[in-house]
Amino acid sequence: MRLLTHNTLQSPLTSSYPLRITATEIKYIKSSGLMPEEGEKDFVKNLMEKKKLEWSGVVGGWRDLKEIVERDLKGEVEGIEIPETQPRPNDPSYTKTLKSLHILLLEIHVITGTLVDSSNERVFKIEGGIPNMILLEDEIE
Amino acid sequence: MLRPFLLCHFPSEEIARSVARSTVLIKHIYKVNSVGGTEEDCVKNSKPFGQSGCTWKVIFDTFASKFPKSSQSTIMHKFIDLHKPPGQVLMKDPTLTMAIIHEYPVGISGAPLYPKHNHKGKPIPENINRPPLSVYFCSLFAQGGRDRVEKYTLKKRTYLGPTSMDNELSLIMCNAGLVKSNSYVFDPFVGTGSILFSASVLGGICVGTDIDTRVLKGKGEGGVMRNFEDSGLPLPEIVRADNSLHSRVFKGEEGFDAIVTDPPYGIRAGARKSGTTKERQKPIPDEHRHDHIPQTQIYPVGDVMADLLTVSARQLKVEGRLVYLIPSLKDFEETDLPTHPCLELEWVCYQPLGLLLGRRMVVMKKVREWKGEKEEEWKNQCWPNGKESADKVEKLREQMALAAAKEREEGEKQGWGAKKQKTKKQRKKEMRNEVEIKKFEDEDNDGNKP
Repeated sequence: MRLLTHNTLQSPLTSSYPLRITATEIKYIKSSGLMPEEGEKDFVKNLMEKKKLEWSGVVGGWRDLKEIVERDLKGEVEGIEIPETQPRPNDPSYTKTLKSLHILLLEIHVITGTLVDSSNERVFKIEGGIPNMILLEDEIE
Repeated sequence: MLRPFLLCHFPSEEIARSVARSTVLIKHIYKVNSVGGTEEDCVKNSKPFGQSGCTWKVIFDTFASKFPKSSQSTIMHKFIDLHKPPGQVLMKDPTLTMAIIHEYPVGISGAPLYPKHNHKGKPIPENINRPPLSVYFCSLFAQGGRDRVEKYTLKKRTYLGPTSMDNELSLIMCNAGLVKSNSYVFDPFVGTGSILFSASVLGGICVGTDIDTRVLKGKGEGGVMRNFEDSGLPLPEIVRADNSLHSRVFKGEEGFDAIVTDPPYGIRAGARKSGTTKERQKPIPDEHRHDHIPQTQIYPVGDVMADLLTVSARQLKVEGRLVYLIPSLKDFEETDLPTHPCLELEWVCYQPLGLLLGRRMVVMKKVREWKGEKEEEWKNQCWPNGKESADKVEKLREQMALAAAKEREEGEKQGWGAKKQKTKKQRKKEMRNEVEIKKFEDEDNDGNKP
C-alpha cells in the first residue's frame, strides 16, 4: 500500500479520515514504468490540480510514516517536505512539494503494518502490502 | 463476409504511426502504392518505389489463402521486373519492405470463406483458382502492437488462477478503456490481477480490490504482485475489500481514467459478498475478533452489476471508461444490458464461445457528474428489462449443465460413446471384484495359518 491508496481510504465503520498508519516494514521502489515518458510527476500534479488529493490525508500519512522512512530508507529517500496546507501552483515551494509527493505517493510501499480508525481504534491489518478492509459480519449493518 | 485488410486514410504519417503503436489487433500498416481488382490492374496502376541507395526486399502477404513458393515468386517478379528499386537487396531489416497482398474474404469466425483444401487436405477445385477480392502493391509502414500479446503471454507468468484472463483480451479491454501511460486504472474484482497486468503494460497506474484473500495471496507462488515483480512492471495497489461495500471503504470520486474488470458471474468462481444470511448470528468473542474469518453470502448477478455501475458512475472521471465482460446464452439481448444515467453505452462486442454460449465486451463512457443523493434511485434503474435480464446470466451455469446433459443423453441414445463407457465401467467393476476376491482369499489363507 502506498500513500496514493491511503489517501482514498476511510474507515468503513465510522468514515473516520485519515486512517492512522503504523508501519513495521516499508520498501522504496523507484517507479519507472515500461513506457516512461517522464510522466509520473504529471500524474501527481494532475491529482493535485483536479482536487483529487485529500491534503489532510497526505499530511497525516507523512506524519505517521516520517519516523520509519527516516530510519529504514536512509540514503534512498531524503528531503521530503510536506507543508501543512496544500500549496498553490504559484507558490515558490510548489515544484519541491510535487517532487516530495511523487516519492511519497508512488514510491514508498508499506508492506507490513496496520491502519487504525482513530475514533474507535478498530485495526485493519496490512500484510504483503495489502490492507485488509473486510468487515466482520456483525459490523455490516 | 469480412475483409481481413482494411483500407483507410490517415491525416498524417505521425497519426498512422501512433495508431499502429496503440493497437492490439493490427499486425502491420502498409502504405499503398497501387490497388487493383486483379493482379494485372494492380501492376498497371503501380508506380516506382524507393530512393537511390536504399536497401530493399519484397514479401508476399495474404490472408485466408495459401500460395506455393513458386507462384509467390512468379507474382513478385511481375512487379519487381517493372519497378526495380534503385538499391541493394537486403533480407534483414531493409529500409524498404515492399509487399504484394492478395486479399481473400473470411467468414464471421475468422476462418477462410473459400478454403483451397478441405480438412482432409484434398483440394477444393472451385476455390483453387478463385480470384482475390483485391491485389495491393505496398510498402511496410509500421508494425502493430501485437508483439505485446506474445511478450506477456500467460504461459510466462508464475502466478495464475482459474479466472486469469487471456492476455490478448485483457489488452484489448484496456485499450478499449483508453488506458495509456499514466492512466489511473481500477479493477474492483482483481483476482489474480491479469487485467491490471495488461493495464500496467500500457503504462497505467493500477488499483485493484478483491474480497478473496486466497486469490490475492496465492498458495506460495507469491500472489497477485508476483507477475508484476517478475516482469519488472510497477506494482499495483491492492486492497482487500468488498465491492458491495465500496463506498464505505473508499471516500469517493477518485477520478479514475478507466475501470476495467471481469465481474464474477459464478461460472468459474462463485461470487461472494460480506455478511451472513443466518437469522441469529453468534456473537464474535472479543479475543477472537482479530483472527475471525468474516462470513460471506452469495452475491447475485443483479447486485454485482448494479454495484459495478454505481461504483463506476461515482469513481470515474467524466469521459472515463468502464469496460467489462458479460457472458450469456442466445436469450440475452443487447437491450438486456445494465444501464446507469451517468454512463453511456459506447461499444458492445460479441464473441461467440460455442453454439450457445458467448460473451460481450461492453464499453461505457461516463457522461454526467455523480450525485450522491441519487445513488439509490439510479441503482434501481440498473436493469431496464427488469430482473429477468440478470436471471438469464445467473442461470447460465445451470443451463449449460442442462444442455450438456441433454447432449450426452442424446449421444447415448444414438449409441456412440455409451458402449465404450459401459465396457470401461464394467472392466473397472470386474477388476474391483477380482481384487476383493483376492483380498478375501488372502485373509482366509492367513486365518487358516496355524
